[in-house]
Amino acid sequence: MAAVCLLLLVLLPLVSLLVQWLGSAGLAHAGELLGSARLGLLLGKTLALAMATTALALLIGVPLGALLARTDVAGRGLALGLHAFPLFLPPFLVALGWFQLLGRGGIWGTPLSARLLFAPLGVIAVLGLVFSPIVTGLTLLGLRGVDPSLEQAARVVAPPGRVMRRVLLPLAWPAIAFAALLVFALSVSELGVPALLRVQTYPAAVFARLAGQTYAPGEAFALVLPLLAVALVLLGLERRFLGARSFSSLKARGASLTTWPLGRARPWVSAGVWCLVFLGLYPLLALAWRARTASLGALLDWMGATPGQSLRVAALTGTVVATLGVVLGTRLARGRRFSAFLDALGVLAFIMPSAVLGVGLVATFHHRATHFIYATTAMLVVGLVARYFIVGVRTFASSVSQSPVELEQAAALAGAGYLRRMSRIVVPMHARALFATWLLAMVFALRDLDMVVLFYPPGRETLPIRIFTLEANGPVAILCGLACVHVVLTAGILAIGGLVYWRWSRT
Amino acid sequence: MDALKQNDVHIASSNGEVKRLVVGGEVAIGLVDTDDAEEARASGAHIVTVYPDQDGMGTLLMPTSLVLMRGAPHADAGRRLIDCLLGPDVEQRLAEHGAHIPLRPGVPVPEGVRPAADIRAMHVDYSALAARMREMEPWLRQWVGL
Repeated sequence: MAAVCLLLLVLLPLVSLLVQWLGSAGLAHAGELLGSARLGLLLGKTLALAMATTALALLIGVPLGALLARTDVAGRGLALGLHAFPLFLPPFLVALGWFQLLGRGGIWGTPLSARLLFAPLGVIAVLGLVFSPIVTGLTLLGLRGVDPSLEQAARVVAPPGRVMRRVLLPLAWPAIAFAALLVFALSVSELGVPALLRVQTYPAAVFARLAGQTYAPGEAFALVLPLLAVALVLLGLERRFLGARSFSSLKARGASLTTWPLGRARPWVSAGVWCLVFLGLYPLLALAWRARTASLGALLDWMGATPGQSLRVAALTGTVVATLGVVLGTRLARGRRFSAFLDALGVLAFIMPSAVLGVGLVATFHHRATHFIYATTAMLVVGLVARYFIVGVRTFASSVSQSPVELEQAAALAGAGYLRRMSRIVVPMHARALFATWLLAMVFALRDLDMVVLFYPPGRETLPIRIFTLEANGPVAILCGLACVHVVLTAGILAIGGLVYWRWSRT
Repeated sequence: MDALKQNDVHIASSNGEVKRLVVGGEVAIGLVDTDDAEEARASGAHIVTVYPDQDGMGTLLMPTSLVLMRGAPHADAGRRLIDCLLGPDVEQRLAEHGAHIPLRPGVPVPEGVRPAADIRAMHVDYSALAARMREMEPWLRQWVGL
């Protein structure tokens, strides 16, 4: 049943896209459109931006992940949490903060800073910083998953730095490579940050054909084909070089790992780490500073029901993703039939540019018969589940893979059916992982803009959509105020969720 | 249009961005709506609102339009909404809060906005324009680089 849902949510939109493309007016000049040198250059530029962003994220994230994983940097836990926090916000919101800081009229703005920000370099810097926690986190997990005996053997003959470079990081490469793939995929998809920083990218060309006066869905369908090709190449790389290792690498070993003392370098290294952490937080502080003149009444007027809508959509998405995660994550962890195919489908849905999946969902659901979905909040949930269900599957699979399968086998031998085994063994045993899955899916749904902006029903916009659409013409203080509301909302959910998870771990 | 682009014109994504570019001094002039110009003026920016081509073809005055869809399920309610929105009270509020130009004589306009009677308006055939825009859309997308 869960597999059928996924096929409907992911495979069907891709098939609908193909059918629409074959039947639409876009086909008539698809060859001319796809062969256009201008659009080819735009695609090349977008891919180059994504590669540069990935390189920057690796440059920041790998050393930072290594330091936080294995050294005695001051306040490691807090540093990791604060470094990761901007990742849970819509990237364009962080870009808005950089605009308030470094734009021509910004807090620290000069003509030079504005020129650098509103350029491809600005896009690379903003996205590289926002996405670097993905690399930091996965590097950290990858390093913690290395067999301690290998490290101990290497330490006998080599200093820590050499051990890190020649032994630990190479062993953690599946996690780092997976992080690079995720950052690249998210960068190719990104619509809000380039739009704000006035850099044209390929997804904007797709969006321009689905929005406003220049509605040309046939052309949009044609234009997403190169993006689909990019997604299939990324999937091929993931399957070929990572496959199951990318989720099994998220397992942290139970054995205690030695912390390497930094000695006299500790204050300097710690200062460097914290400078990097605060670099990611400055734009949020800038938003708060600019929002200080906004009146509460005006803010509530402009905000409307969008925070409630955001929470509603996120909670529903989290619930559906968590449910799919339990069913399919268990299958993936146990290597059941078709689980690899469904996992590949999930990875494809996550890494393909939002425009592809979004346009496919429009092609699937924009019909009279499915109006009850397309014109309601359900459409947002459908799109977000299609995009992020793999987060639930992989998170839950990672937990299940660490528990012995014999418990379930014994229950099966004793006559317990599937539902009974799931409800009496798997779910209770991995309840914390289920909660973490729900929380993670909820936060991803809360931050999403690139998907939902393509098909949100009028009057059902979420807070990121409201901020994005207001960015063009809204009062600056109100805009920054709304951004701060989103930051507080996300921080609140993470804080409450983290507290619940921590209390649960202690019982 | 091509000559305009070769003249190093900046193609912004929205009226709001044009306003920011002019207020920030990044460009000397920008094409916007009256509400954006009025917002800039009210915020204390050193700008002047110019109604172009008053000695020539006239300034483009774009009406804010309401449309009742053919076959609408709640057509009566739609007509009542249209009648309300076209009333003098709403027109005055749009002028006060959004710097719209009222069409009714006698509706006061905010400082910095000219009444319609004082503007030489460009004559536009919107039906012909709509048809021409549909033809031009692919070229326009190419012109902006998308």
